[in-house]
Amino acid sequence: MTRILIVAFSLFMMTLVFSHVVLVRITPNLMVQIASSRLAEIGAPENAWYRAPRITAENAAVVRASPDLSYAACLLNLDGGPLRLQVPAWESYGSLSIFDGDTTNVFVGRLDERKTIDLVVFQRGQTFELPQGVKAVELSTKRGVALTRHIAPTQELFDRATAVIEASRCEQL
Amino acid sequence: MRNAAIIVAALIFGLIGGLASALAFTGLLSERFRLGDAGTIDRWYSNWSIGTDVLDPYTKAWVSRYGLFALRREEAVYFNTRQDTEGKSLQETCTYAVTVEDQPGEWWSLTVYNADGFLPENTDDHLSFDALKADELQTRDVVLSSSLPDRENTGWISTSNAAAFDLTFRVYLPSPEAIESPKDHFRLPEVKRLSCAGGANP
Repeated sequence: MTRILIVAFSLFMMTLVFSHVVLVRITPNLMVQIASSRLAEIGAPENAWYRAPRITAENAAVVRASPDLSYAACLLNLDGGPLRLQVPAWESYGSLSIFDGDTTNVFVGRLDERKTIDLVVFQRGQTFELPQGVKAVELSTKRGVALTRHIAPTQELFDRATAVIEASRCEQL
Repeated sequence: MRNAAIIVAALIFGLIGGLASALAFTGLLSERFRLGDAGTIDRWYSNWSIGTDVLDPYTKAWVSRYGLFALRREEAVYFNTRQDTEGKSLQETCTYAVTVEDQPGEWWSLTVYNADGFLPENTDDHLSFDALKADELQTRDVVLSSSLPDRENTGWISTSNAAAFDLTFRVYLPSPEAIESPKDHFRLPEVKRLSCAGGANP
């Protein structure tokens, strides 16, 4: 009886530690997958910019979305190879952020510096020819998310930010 | 048979214990359990780990829940509060006054969220107040109430359907000095309770 209790306790501890570590480790990936699924549900395609409507209580896909910002997202999928991202400059504060599948912020660039941000996003092992003047950004995973934020607290600014996104690229290289 | 039952029970309880402890340790059971480099300035809470390259897996998991896709702190810093100046919880049934002072950054905004971190469901189109609106109205005074205030020359944040709510204050492009020493540079707004419906005093 003592022996079986020792075995049971050992299995209990091993299962406890294993499940604890696995859940802690995969939580960031799960959160990105959940957010990506929510974005896909509201119409965000893969490898193309999705212009979110003005943020309201009804359409906020993530917690603490700001109604003063214009958001756009590109769900990155590197299965077909590297992607080219271009976002033109913006008149006020704006940013382009790229997150890999475990939430690591692998790139951030400001859009108010009078210069189009031009990138190739790839995963290690993928080969491609980097165009001149273009920056390469490496993801640790095949999936990721690119996000733009433009300060746009009025409808007029929001419409102008929308035009910037319409002139942006997120597509296969 | 009995031994098999003991083994299965050990595996099940181990699994439940592991998952529950992981949820608790990463703060996923309650936002009040905070990880990372947390700090408070005048009842406003901030976590400086949000927007940084977190290596510790617990903090990384916590940040993925409460600061997913947040900007780096060189781009924006975030402060949250759920209390007024007297330490009482913020309630939709009460009216509050806030004055925003100069900030060590290029733009700021104040936004209301419900207890789940989402925008309250109302159609008032006044869920935030920001530096541009302040310039337009030429005031940095803002009233938080569930219906349009009868005050002149003030901004308004609608707390309709917010129940027990909290506020997020964002400062974009903070100065390097403010990032280095937040308590010395950020002047976070006081949330003064003016009145509560029916004289309630939550």
